[in-house]
This record gives sequence, C-alpha cells and structure tokens, in this order.
Amino acid sequence: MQFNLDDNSQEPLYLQVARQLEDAIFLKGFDEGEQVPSTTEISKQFHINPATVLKGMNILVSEEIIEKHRGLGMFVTKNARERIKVKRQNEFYSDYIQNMVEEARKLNLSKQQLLDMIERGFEENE
Amino acid sequence: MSFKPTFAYLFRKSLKTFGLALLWVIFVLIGLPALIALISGTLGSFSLEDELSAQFISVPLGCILFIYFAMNQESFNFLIQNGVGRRTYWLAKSAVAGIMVILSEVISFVYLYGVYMPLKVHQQFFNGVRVDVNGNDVASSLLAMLYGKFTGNAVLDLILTSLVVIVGFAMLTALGMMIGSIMSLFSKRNQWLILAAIGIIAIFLIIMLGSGNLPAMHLAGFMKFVEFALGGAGVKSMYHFNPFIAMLSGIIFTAVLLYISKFFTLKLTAKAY
Amino acid sequence: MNELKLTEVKKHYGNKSVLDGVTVQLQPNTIYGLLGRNGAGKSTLLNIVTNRIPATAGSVTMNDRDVTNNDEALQQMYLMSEANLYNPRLRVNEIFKETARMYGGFNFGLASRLAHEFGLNVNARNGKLSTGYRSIYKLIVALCVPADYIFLDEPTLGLDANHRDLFYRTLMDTYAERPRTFVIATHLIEEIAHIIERLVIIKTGSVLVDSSVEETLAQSHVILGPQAEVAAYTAGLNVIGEESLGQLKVRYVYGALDDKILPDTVRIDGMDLQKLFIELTNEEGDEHVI
Repeated sequence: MQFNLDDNSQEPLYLQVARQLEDAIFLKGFDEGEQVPSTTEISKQFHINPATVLKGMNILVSEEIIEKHRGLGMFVTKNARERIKVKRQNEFYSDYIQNMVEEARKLNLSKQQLLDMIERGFEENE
Repeated sequence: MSFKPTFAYLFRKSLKTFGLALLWVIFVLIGLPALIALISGTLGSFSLEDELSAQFISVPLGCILFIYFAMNQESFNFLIQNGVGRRTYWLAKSAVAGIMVILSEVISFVYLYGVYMPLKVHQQFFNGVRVDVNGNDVASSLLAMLYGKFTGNAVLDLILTSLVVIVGFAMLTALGMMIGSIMSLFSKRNQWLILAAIGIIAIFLIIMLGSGNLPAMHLAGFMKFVEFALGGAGVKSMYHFNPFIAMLSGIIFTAVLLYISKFFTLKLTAKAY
Repeated sequence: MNELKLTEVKKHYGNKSVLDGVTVQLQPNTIYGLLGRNGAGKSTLLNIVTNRIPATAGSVTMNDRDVTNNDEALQQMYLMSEANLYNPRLRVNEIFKETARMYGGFNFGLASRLAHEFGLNVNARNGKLSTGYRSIYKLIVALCVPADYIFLDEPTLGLDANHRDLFYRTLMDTYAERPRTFVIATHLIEEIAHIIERLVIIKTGSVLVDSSVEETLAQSHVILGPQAEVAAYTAGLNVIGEESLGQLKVRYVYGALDDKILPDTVRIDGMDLQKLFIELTNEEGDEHVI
C-alpha cells in the first residue's frame, strides 16, 4: 500500500489517511471481505500517530466501508466499493464540476465549448 | 522511595572500589618492596615481617574511606538518570558509609590480631604490656595506647578501643562526605583550584606552626579541647583515657558533619561526562 | 493516571534568563513535539523537569506533588539526553542491567531485538561508541524502561536515514503496545510531523504554542496570489510572514481567517509544521504576537 500525504493540503491528516485507505479499497488494493492493515501497522509503516490513523479508520467504519471483527481486526465490508462509488458520485458535482466551471470562466470558455470538450473527452477515452 | 536499589547499587560499587584499593595498598606496601628486592638481588634478606606495621591496613583504610565518600558525581549522575532523588542518595550513601566503616575496622582488627601480632609480636610481655621483638609497645598500633587499660579487663578494653576506632572512622568518613558535598557545588576546574589553595594554606600553616609564630594561647586552647574530646581530661597517664567520652564526642561531630553534608548533597546537580 | 505539570518555571544563569516562566501541562499517553530553535531552552527545561538541575523559580509537579527529590515521581520519568550521565567505562549491557535494577523492570526482549536490528554491540563500553551508536543505546534504554514519561532530547542525533526510520517504526510500535507520554525535542520537524499529537513550541524561554497538531495546523494558512489582492485579503489577520516573487505574494497567516470573500485570483493552502515553525520563530517575526 502506498500513502500520498500532502502537508500543504488544508485537509487534516486523519481525513487524508481515510481517503488513502478508501482509495486503496476502491482501486481493489483490498477486496471486499479482506482484512485491512491494523492501526499499528499503518502507524509503523508511515510514521503516523496511531490516534490519527484510528480517527481516519473510524470515519470509514462510520461510512460502513470497513468493519471491526472483534478480536480479529478491520475488514472491508461486503458492499464497500458500491458505497464508495455512490459517495463519490454524490461528491462529483462539488469536487469536479463546480471547479471546472469556475476554471472555465477564468479562461473565458463558453458553456458550449466546455460541453464540446466533455464530448471529446468521452470519445477519446473509448 | 527507591532506597533499596540505591543502597544495593552504592554498596556493590563501594565493595568493588575498596577491594581494588586494598589490593593496591598491599601491592605498594609489600609487592613493591619485594619487587625492588628481587631486582636489586637482595631477595635473600627480604622479610615479610619487616614490611608489616601495625597501621599497615587501618591508615590506608581511613584514607580510602575519606576520599571515596567525598566523591559524588559519578553516583549522583547515574542515580538522577535513573529517577533517584538527592535525599535517597544521601540516605543510602550514609548507610553504605556506616557499613564500610564497620567493615574497615573488622578488616583492621583481623589484620592486627590475626596477621600482624602472631607474625611479629611473639607474645612477649614487658611490665604487663605486649611488646614486639624490638621491644616496642604493641598497643601503639591503635588507639589502644589511649584506651587500652580503661577498665582493666583485656577483652572489654579491646572492644571499647575498637568501638572508638569505628567512631573515628565514621568521623573521618563524614568529614569526607561533608567536604565532598561542598566541593560538588563547584565545577571540576574550580575544584582543582580550591584543592590547590587549601594545599598552599596548609603548607603555610605548617611552616608557621614549626617556627612557633602561631599565637600560643589559641593553640593551647585547641589542644586542651582535643584532649577533652578524646576523653583525656584530668587523666594522668596514657591507657586510661575515657573511651565513652571519645565515642560521645565523635558521634556528635559525626552527626554535625553528616547534617552539613546532607544540606549540600541536596544541592547536587547533574554534570555530564 | 500521572499528571505532570510545569508552573511558571524560570531559570536564570547569573542575570541571563534561559527560561522565562514556562507553564505546560503534559497529558498522559500522548506524543509531544517540543520544538524550539537552538538555545531556546528545550534541554534546560527537560533537565529541570527530571530534576537534574534546580529551577530558579516555579514548580514541576506530578499529581500535585513537587518532583524535586521525589523518587516516586522521578521513577515515572526517563530523560534521554545528549549529555552523557553514564560512566564512559560502563558497557552497554551493564547499563541495561543497572537500569533494570533501578527502575524495577526493563524490556530486555525488546532491548536485545533492537540492539540486533540496529547492529549495536552491547559489550562495547559506552564511552567508546560513535555519536550515532551512543544515541542508539540511549534510545534503546528509553524505549525499554517502564516509565510513563519518556523525554527524548535530540533522539536521532548522528543516526543515518535507515536507523531513523527504524527508530520511528519502533517508537510507533512500542507506543501502540504500551501507551505512555513521549516528549520529543528535535530539529528534524518534518520527520516527526505526523508522529506527534501535541505540540509545544518554545521561543527564547517562553511557550509560544501549546496545542494539538491538528488544531494548530487548522489555524495555519498560506495565502497566495497577486500582491494587492493578498494584501487586501489578509489585512487585519495575524500575518506571521510573507514572501514575494514578482507580482505574486505569499502571506503566512496564523489564526482564524475572517469571512471576507476570497477573490478568484487568491488561493488558500495549508501550511506544514516545519514552515509554520520557521515563520513563528524567525527573528523578524518578533512583532507578531499570537
């Protein structure tokens, strides 16, 4: 597993930890039902305070992406990927569309030009 | 309180140091003359008996007690690093010092009556006093010359004299502790400067004393005080000093010295190597 | 749980003031970063807390009892410092043994594992070790001692990158296994930035920051954009430093941003701990009081 933490982000470290773990699960680094590394393991490997890691993990627990199996550790839930997908779809507008429109305005791109570009992007990605 | 481990640490350390120091003393006083005799080819006339003297062990032990218990820094550094405060250090050190004082007298006693006397004295008596082959008074070996016949009972007098020696050792040790605790307040460099200054003053005083330039009255008063403290006030002859007065005054001095040493020990600070 | 409290701790040498009234409360089971520039008074403070030297004024208490010559409190602390208080002739394994005797316990298993992993010769006399290995044997003692407050003054002095990595891993591991308070004084801020939970910054003998890292960073902002806009946006804020590059300006702000509307051309970023430390403790930053 790889962690990309950005110290110049306004996002607190524990949120970054949660997002990195979520990414790993979404990109099939961990399968559904599979165990994820323990707080201590992550803490050791990336030199992060265990309390911070735990705080990040607890966010994923509350979002039902991972769950605690008593005495065994944390495991990816059955529908974790579906949940992440729905969540990210919901965030897509605020994370990407709003920023894109804002940037387009700065560059004097018209609505039609932007829509064309999106069209082109889909075609080239086929 | 961490008294037990602190005591154990200091006790082990002092046993080791005393053992080594005694070996050194024996080497310097016997081994070295023997070595010199061997080198100069006069080994034939070398005699162990000639090298032994009554004060052979007790005087070096007194010096070791004084010097060893004057030292603080190594032990204190180690103890404060390990979470032991100054109060416990002083207490444990005093307890260890007490044991080493008694042990020192036991060693001197065993040497004197187990080695020195059988080897050198050959049980000769003169006017009821034990003398060695040269006719010298054996009692001069210890404070026995002062207290040797206080009760007239040989065994009791021997015990009383030994007790006086123990108190004497204790006083010497406490003096070392006091001087050491005061010296510990200074940096290493200043400690050497102070030692040098004391040395110079001492030499100066001795010269003054020798030339009789010291006010005689003061000196006489001081001598009188010493005589009193030793239990010799009003005593006409040697051997009959009062050991109880000596012990009592010794204990009082020791207590005062210990108290002062405690005061300054509580001001110790860690000094890195 | 043991509470360690420093109240108005002052230290003067002659008329030179090293600590000027430090008040900090150390929480149990928390990893602290104790930051300060050279000569800020970090080592002096740690020496006073562990009763190696007396304070000129003020008090250090554990559970409301003064720690001065208080074995019970002192036994709950261990200070690993650059200053060596072990006789140089002592061998490393002798130090392990003696420490175990004095503290009434020692994690010998961890000690021998770490000695092996670091490649430390435990039969060597401590005075003969290199700076790096001297740090290593002291670190091992600090991590294996059964105390609740472990103070590490420059723990990575002389350690190469691999050994530093090993140390941070071990620290996280042993902390998870047996939580206790660590206070790490270091200049390598980036390396401990994610490890520490709370932060104490000392500047010329006084506490400048005493807060959680998360809260501190949440209040630290980098405002970047054209000169005029940045100046307008940061007007009235607690600006602790700034840099210019042509028409671009960066201002570092410590504290709350007000609800002014952010111009399109101005960006707000977070600040990393090292940058924050540099801006807060820069000499030119003196006028910016928080």
